[in-house]
Amino acid sequence: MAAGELTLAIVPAQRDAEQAFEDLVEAHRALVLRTAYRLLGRLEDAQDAAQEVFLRLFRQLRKIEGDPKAWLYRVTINVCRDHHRRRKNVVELHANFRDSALDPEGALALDQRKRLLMEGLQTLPERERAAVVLRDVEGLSTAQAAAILGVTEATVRSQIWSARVKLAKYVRSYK
Amino acid sequence: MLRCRDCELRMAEFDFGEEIEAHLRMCPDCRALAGELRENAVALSAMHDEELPVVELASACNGGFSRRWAAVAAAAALTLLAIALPWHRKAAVIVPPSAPVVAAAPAPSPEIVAAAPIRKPRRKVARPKPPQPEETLVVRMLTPDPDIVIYWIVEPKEKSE
Repeated sequence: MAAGELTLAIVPAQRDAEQAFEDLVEAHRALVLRTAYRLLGRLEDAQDAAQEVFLRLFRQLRKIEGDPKAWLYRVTINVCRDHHRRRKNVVELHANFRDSALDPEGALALDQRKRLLMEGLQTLPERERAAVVLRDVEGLSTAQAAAILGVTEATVRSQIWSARVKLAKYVRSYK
Repeated sequence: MLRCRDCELRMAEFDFGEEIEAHLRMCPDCRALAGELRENAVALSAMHDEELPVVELASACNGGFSRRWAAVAAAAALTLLAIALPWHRKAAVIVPPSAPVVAAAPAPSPEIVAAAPIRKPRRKVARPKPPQPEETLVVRMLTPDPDIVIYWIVEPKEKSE
């Protein structure tokens, strides 16, 4: 180092931490993005949320022990909740879909139903939406969902039942 | 007789017992809702396997970290400068000279005293050294990205006459 020159390295002390972080992102990127997308309803918002989630993961990396899935679900839900509050409640309605999607029998194809469900999810209260996404989309148990959401299993069950009935009525209202 | 509201909640739990089935046979609304609940369950489950584009996430993620690290580095540099600059300047401050040192002149010999006019002995004054020019301080910040190195160059202060 030349005289009068200071070198300050802010490289993380452990290079292994960076590699561990990249591995975690690679392994759980789909989980975070998928969950955020179901909660927010727009891919662009989901990507922003996922980025925020992984930034928090980067900061908290050394504090997370074991399987980080529960942590990632919890943080994703929190980030999406914040995101939802910041933005206006924008639901991209498929106007053309409503007129033309139904076949003569009134049955919905799977893709069509999924699109309607995505809309319907955005109409649910936040807690019900999170519960049904964890339970029915992510396939977690009621106990796992309750632990992630920080509520009792009975509360989660109630939220899920309510959400399912609302979604069923929402889809049915477009038939 | 089971009410529709109770039937809805039990169907939402996928509890299709004998009592529910009996209600469904008589209630077309609940029967239709039961069909939607079943099909929705399949569709929601199928959402889990949907592929979502993740390429943008990766690039945005990397870029975001670099930018954030750069911001952190800049903040750290400012802090460092706040600490280092006063020290750097202090090191180059001109120290006022202490009292002059007077060297005693050797006593002239008597012959010279007689021949030469009397002169006052010349005093030798130790002058202070000229001040060292201040050095340029270079702060180099290394970031996790090897392509990003932040240099902070502090030029010596111009002397005003």
